[in-house]
Amino acid sequence: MKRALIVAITVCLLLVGSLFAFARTAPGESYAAFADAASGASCCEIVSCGCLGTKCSCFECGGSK
Amino acid sequence: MGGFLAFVLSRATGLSAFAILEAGYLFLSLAGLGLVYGFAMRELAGNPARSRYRLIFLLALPFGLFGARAIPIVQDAILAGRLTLGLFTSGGLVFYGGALAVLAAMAVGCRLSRLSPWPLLDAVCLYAPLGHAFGRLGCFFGGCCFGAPTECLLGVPFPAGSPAFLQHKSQGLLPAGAVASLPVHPSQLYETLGNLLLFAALLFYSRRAAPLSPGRLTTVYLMGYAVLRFTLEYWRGDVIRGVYYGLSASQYVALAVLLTTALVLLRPRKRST
Repeated sequence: MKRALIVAITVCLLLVGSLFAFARTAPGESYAAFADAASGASCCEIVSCGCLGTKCSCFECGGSK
Repeated sequence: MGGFLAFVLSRATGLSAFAILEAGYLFLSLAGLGLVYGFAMRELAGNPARSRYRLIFLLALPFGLFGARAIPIVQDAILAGRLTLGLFTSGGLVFYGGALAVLAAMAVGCRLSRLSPWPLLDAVCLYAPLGHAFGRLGCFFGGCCFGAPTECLLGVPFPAGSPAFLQHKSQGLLPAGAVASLPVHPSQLYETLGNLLLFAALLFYSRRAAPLSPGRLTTVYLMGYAVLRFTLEYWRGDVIRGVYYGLSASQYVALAVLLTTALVLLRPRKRST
């Protein structure tokens, strides 16, 4: 039990660090390349417009807001 | 952010971006729920009604989904001035609505089964912050629940097409040809860390020498999360969550929960004779 808890918390902290580091260090060219790829399709096809892939109240996903 | 991460990983590895994205969502969405379920059932290991508690836990989950949808539906209906089918079929999920609905459904289920709800609720509330921590990573991955624009070191830009990018674009904050949003507070990660701290505090509190009275852990969790959520909302920047008279919808819910739990904690206890 204690070991499973330690593993879960460690994985969570590693993911926090990895996601934050990725977002901070991704080069501008990658953002530009992604924007190019995304411009060919609607935002709903490329990026989840909200929680867990569902079309949340995103501006261009047909939501009311 | 998940789409962008999958895109970059796909270019580096040759794997399908869609597969990477879906695998990420699947892991993050199931990890939180799985952890709460697994650890709560482990906590109930010595309880003779464990199998009935397990059934109630699983049956309460759809109610949680309904509760998570309820707040956005009400918000959208107020904004639109009418209630339409489209408001039910499209829109977001709110953690607070889901959590309160699932706990209420568990309590009702236990009452109907003539069981005390507190062993189940206390076990679920002890591990809820740990599961929620993973859920907020999913929010960061999806790009929802993003923070307010900031120039500080912690600010992160979200890629083109993300909710943050679309909001900043619609507000005219981005120059023409921008490929990312303004740097924003990673509010999802703040809440992940806040949930882990809340979990550590609850674990410490639950393992102290004197046994806790039934329901105490549930009350303390609801109170602790209300304080955490109310505070963290000040770093949130997504207007879609609804801000009314200076406070967000979740802050009003947090205040109501805080008031209710404070009354429960402060009420005089019945003396056993």
